[in-house]
Amino acid sequence: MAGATFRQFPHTADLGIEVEAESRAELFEAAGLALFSLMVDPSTVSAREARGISAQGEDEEELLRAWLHQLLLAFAIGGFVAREVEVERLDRFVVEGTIRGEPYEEGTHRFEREIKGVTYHGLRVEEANGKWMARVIFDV
Amino acid sequence: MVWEISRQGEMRVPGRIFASEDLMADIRSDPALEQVANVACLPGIVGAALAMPDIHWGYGFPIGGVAAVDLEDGVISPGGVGYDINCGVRLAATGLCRQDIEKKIEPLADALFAAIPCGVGAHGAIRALSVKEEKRLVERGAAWAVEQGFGDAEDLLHAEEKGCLAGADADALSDTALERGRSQVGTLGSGNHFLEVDVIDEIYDREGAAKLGLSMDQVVVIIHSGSRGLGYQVCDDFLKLMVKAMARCGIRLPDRQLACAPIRSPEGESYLAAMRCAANYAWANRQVMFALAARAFEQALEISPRDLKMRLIYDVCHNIAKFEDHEIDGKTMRVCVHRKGATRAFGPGHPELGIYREMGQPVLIPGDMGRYSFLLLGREEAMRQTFGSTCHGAGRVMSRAQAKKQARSIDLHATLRERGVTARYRGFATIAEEMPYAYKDVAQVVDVMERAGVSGKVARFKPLAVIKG
Repeated sequence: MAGATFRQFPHTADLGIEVEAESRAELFEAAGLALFSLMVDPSTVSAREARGISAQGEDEEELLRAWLHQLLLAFAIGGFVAREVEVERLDRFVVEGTIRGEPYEEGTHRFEREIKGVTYHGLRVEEANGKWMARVIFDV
Repeated sequence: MVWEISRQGEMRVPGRIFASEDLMADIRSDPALEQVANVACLPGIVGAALAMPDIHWGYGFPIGGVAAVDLEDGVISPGGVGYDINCGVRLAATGLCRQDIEKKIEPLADALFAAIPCGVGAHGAIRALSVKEEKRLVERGAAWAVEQGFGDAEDLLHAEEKGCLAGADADALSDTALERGRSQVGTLGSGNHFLEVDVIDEIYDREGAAKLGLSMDQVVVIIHSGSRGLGYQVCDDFLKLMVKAMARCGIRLPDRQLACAPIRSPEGESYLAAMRCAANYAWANRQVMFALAARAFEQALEISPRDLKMRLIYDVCHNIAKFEDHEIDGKTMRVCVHRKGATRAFGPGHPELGIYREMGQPVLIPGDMGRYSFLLLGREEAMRQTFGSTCHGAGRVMSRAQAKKQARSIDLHATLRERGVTARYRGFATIAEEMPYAYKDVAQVVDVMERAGVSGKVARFKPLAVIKG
């Protein structure tokens, strides 16, 4: 996943991220990692188990949002924290992948903050000159 | 002072902003005003699109906004309620004063921190509910919690809607919403949620305070929390649905984030039924945490419930949509009032207020964790100017990223201790993002609404202990 980065952009009340990557698949991986790292410090997580994740969407942005929402649910419902995110299949309307991590444990994992939702607010996915970029705002 | 955005373009009503000159400068620094003008374009909107002094930009609707729509041809919008449906505040008084707890503040903070988890991942204080039990909870609200042994029936008289909105239908909830909520009963959540132990350090309305049994140095408990994952999921589920509904109903708005549906449509009715479930979940949750907090006090201070005398003053919500009667252009209309980051503040004489009918509705306005919070009473003028609404809190002045960066160079615990605050928290990023310097002074916000005659201060509370998720 060389070259994939994310940074936070200013938003008063919520949390906005901008992700850049060399490919669409890496963009989805980087955005997923960004989400997990905002919730729990990945350096405190071991990649002991794997979970499969899939999502569908009617367009580029909706697909990314749906993917991130499924990752959020893996934590919010499944109690699972990940330090690795891998996309295995990505076409126009479907994404499938695997996350590696372990069940969340207070005391072991450094909890950063709760993310309530992946919003549609300012949601963007763009490709320019072979590079991919996405903007997502999380409700905190 | 009231600022007006006059009707233009597609606006059906004007925009009206309650703010001082100083606050207005802040308000102009993000797209909030543009959002107020966009809200004024909603089908069925009446009166004006209102903005409270703590307004800032949000998803479609700004946070700190009030919009009332006609029931027959108006729309309901999840964005006009917010992700955290019935995020609200509860104020409880105790029979204790500052001297009773000062020397025991650390064990008290520890006990509260242990008693009320923040509910991260899938963990909660109460055993995970069965689907059947959860469905009962969302249709009964705070009454469900009382039935489970958390507090008593009398508490229900001291809450907006008695802690339960009619018209909740558990079948309107998705499986995912139910799944997210089943293990989170009795949890605080994170972000700007908190449980605080405060003391009354100023009284503005002696008569009002006396009637409420409040006096200087009295220890109070404030709980700020919402509908947890269940509510967030309801918002998510319906935003998606509404975008499709808008297309089908031919609703076109300047901002597609104002996703909405006619109140009298299957999507609109379904959202209202689900939103009410989420609101009831939040009331049940605050009732549970209120009882858990009382037990923690009793345990840490080794006193009996009779000596603690914890009693609920009031519980308000600030993210909700409700059907209410209001007078518009001389006639009484039943409208749907969206309050997103705004609190109901009915004046004296309103039949909805029950035991508070004579004095007006108590309103709790939380400030940041280092300064103060306020208790207000709604005034008659609120019914005339703001659909019986007032502000909800301090509003942020800096982004979370900025606040976190600033936190790197200071000792958070020491900073709070300087202000006399003992803190316990779970989220390392959260505590940094929630520091007092990230927030406006809530007194400024409260004073604007006081000068407008909408709500009046009764008392001020100073935090001694803060529990954060």
